[in-house]
Amino acid sequence: MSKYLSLTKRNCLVFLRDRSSVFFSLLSMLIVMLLTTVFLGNLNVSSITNLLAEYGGIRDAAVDTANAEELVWYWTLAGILVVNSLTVSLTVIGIMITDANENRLEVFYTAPISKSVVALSYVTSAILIGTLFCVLTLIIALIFIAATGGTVLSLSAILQILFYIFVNVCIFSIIMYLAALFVKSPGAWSGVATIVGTLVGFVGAIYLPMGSLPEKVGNVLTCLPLLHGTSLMRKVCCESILNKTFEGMPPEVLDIYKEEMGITIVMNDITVSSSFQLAFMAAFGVVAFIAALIVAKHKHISDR
Amino acid sequence: MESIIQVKHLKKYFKDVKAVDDISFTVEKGELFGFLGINGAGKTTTIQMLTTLFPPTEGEVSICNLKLGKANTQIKHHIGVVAQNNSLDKRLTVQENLLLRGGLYHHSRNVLKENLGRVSEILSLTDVLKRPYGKLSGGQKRRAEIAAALMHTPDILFLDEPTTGLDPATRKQVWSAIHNLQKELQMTVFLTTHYMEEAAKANHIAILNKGHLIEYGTPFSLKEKYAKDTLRLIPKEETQNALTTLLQTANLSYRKKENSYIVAMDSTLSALPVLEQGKSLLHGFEVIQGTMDDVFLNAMKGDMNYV
Repeated sequence: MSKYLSLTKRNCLVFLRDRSSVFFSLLSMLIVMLLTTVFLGNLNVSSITNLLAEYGGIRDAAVDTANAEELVWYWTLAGILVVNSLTVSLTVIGIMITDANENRLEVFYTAPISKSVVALSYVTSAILIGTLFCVLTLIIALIFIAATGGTVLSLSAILQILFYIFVNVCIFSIIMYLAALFVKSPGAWSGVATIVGTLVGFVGAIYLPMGSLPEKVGNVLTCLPLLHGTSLMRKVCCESILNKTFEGMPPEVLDIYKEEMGITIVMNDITVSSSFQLAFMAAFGVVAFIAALIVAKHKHISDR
Repeated sequence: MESIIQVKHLKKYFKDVKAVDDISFTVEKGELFGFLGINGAGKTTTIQMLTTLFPPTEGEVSICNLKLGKANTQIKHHIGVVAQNNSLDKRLTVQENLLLRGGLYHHSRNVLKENLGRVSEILSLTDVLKRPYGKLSGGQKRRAEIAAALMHTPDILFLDEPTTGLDPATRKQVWSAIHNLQKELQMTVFLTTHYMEEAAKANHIAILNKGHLIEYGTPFSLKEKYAKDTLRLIPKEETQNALTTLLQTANLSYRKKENSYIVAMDSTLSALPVLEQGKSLLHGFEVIQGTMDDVFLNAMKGDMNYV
């Protein structure tokens, strides 16, 4: 047990001391934030105000805009939390590839420690660091929203977000570990990081809302855990501000909006429940875990 | 002497490559054992098998009376390994690195702290404990690597080319560290190298070529066998013929190189009578001792003829 903790601590330290890799692991988040500030935010805000103006009759436009802005920021926050849980755990798992390349794994294996404990320590450190960074992001975001006059989420919502952060990070860490088993060089892994960093915004329907995607693409995305993770997060983040913004509107409008923005996900014409989404993600995690066990068992140290 | 490592008919085949092909040897307790061979001879593969990284294709190995393959976890507690490449984390301090490495063996924080103090003293790292490993000089890095392998006080230390790529002064430092270990802790040191003059410091040497063990012995016995001393005689210009006659009558094999005669000697002392006799004919002379390079090259040559 102490060997496991010792290794986990080491992995975390190795990651945290490397400032540039910390920065690049957060790059996707920074891009999302930049895009939101520059134009995505405005687009999303005006789509809400248009919707309200169209179906809501006579309303206070200034209040609507303020609500819409807050809604968009919470919506973006939900996206960022998922992006981070993926990109940060990806970078942390990258330590394993570097270790294998610099013959460090062999040194670990000459110590009386089983290979599965070594593997587990990488996944654990990815989970720890991923959770830490998401929680920090959440805290900063809440302070920012409060400072700009928004309403801070209720305690129960925050607790729920923390739970979802943990679930997301766990599942993505396992998936990334599985992916890392197939990658042999740090160069290739940074290639993977580039692809993931680029795609994550699309796959999570963050750059483009679900409604703007072609139906086929949307259908594919609903089969991936990332979108469900984002959707779960958005449900909690946006719940209270959604109700506030859409007050007095027909419920159908809200439902359509939620679907458009990927807050709720429709699979086979049925809006899936949160518990289904959680189960779906958990199943993905379990499958990835089993696959990782099998692959790792057949992978030999001399296969570099 | 009690033997601490026994290797019998060890083989490792990778598909059709015979990396290690039927080698047997023993390492005695407390000795410095030199494992020689050119790059690709199978040294690292052998070390990797002995350090439990992968199982041999065939053969029996016992380390500290424990069977390799059956008691690997116990064996791991008895061995320390310094790999060919530096493997500590460059952004962590030396102390963090050593404690983490030691933490893979020991649970108690106190034991680790104690070992840290001891190990850093032996390898004179006390001054650099707080510095990031990546900022150390090449020699300090190497010593820190050795220190990391000693954090669990192993009985046997495996060093895979500990001095490759270091400058001569640093190499000397690393060597004095290795000698200290062997003398003060009675540790068995198993090392590979391709610096022949370093191998001469070992108690026993094994020479590996293309996966075969081609020689085993003490540096002295191998020198006797493979590296004969030579006597270089520089005659005065007018006495060349007289010297040739002298060498021929004394029945010594010689060859002429430029204006000097190279004479093979059985031992350094057997040069004396020749010098005595030819004193008046000589302008100068030189006794050249056989080196480990000669041992290595001749042993390899012998093997090639044999194959």
